[in-house]
Order: sequence, then structure tokens, then C-alpha cells
Amino acid sequence: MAAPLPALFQLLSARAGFLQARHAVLAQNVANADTPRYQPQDLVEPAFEALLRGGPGSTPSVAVARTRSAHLAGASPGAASPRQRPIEAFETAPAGNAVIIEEQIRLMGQADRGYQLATNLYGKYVGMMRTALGAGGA
Amino acid sequence: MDLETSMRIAAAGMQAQSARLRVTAENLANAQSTAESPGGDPYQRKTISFANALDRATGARLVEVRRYGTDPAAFERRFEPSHPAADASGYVLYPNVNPLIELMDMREAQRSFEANLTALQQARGMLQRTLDLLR
Repeated sequence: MAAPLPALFQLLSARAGFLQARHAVLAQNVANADTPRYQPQDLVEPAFEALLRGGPGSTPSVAVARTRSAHLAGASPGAASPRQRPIEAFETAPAGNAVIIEEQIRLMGQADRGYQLATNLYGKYVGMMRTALGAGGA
Repeated sequence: MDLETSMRIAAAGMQAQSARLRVTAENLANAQSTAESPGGDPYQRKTISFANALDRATGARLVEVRRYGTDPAAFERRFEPSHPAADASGYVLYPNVNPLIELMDMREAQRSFEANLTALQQARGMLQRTLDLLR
């Protein structure tokens, strides 16, 4: 087996979390489709492979114990939120708005399908776990 | 930002679009509203402008109505001496409302509303799938 199941669960929930954030950013673009001078945004996809290949964040982060309140708390590697980037516009309205609703809907569909895949896989792995535990029926 | 945020943003978008639809309806309804007294100004076309507003609780940029304005375009003058609002030379001022523009605007507002509705439905579907994991 390539990766232990807990890492897969972590990967899938990270992916689902990213897709939720992406959906919110795209919904923001659609809502602002008539706002003057609004530039559409998207999220930069983080490298999910690192979670499986043992990169930073592949192990659950451990909080550093502090003996004094003045000490710095350790930064947890998994807490970084994905970076926003502007979508390159190929059509800008006279009022300076560069949102193309069709494109946003397409991207939202993409996020939706990705989310569907992540949740279905998650459900499958939960089923596999239950089978391994002898509670999966059959 | 999560799916709840997504739904809130889409709801704000729908609210803004319905405000736009209301302004358009107002303009269309008053397309023939002349002044009450002779020589007075008729109904002036209203405009609406949106702006994005940061929602501090969620960090999302919602959309809201920035201001309602009036269209400075010139009124239409028609020669109708028998009209109660006609001035001394027999001309009546009619509103600067072009029904064609209003109808196009109305259609556009409807489309944007539908796009926001799609976003809302999609977010709800995603949320539902998350809940389905519990089954």
C-alpha cells in the first residue's frame, strides 16, 4: 500500500477544505459580476501531493508546549490558507468589471465535481476501514 | 471561507440584483410620468450602482448597493398644447426613460440573479454531500 489510510483521510479533507474555499471565492466573483472595477479572483491550488509523499504537513502537527506566555507559539504547517490570485481577464466591461459569468459558472462546476470526488472517496475509505474492522456487512 | 460563506455571498448577490430589478421596474412604471404643474420637470430616470463590501466576520467580499442616482440625460420634449403639464409654448417634458434599455437591464439583472442562484444551489449540494458522509 502506497500511503496509510490516515494520510488519505487528511489529504481528502484538505482537498475538500480547499474546494470549499475556492467555491466561496468564485461565488464572490459571480455576486460582484456588476460591481464597477471588480477584478475576479481565484485560489492557487496547493500541492496536495506533498501530503501523500511525506512532505511538510504530512504528519499531524504537534503544538509546542509553552512554559511562559511570552514564548512564541510554534506555527503549524497545515494552517496556511491558499493564496488568492487574480484571474487574467480577456474581456473587461466599460465600467472596469472583468467577471465573465459563464467562466465563473464553469469553474464552480469544476469545484463542485472535485468536491463530489473527494467526498465519495472519503466515504469509500470509511467503508474500507469498516470492512477491515469486520463491521462492513457481507 | 467555507460553504456557509459561499451561500452568504450568493444571497448578497441576489439581494443586490433584486434591488436593481426594482429600480428598473420603477423606471418602466414611470416612463410616462409627466409633471403635475405646467412647465415642471417629469420623472427622472433612476440608476443603481454596486460596490463590494468586506464582511469582517467571514473575510468575504460581499456585494451591496452603493448608491441610487439619477440619470442626467435630457428629457424628451413633445408638442402637446392640450396636455395639462404643457408649458407656455405648448411643449411637454417626458421622462428620459428608454423602455428598450430598461428591458435589457431587467433581463441582465435576471441572468445575474440566476447565476447567483446557481452558486447558492451548488453550495447547498456540496454541503449536503458532506452531511451524507455521516450516513
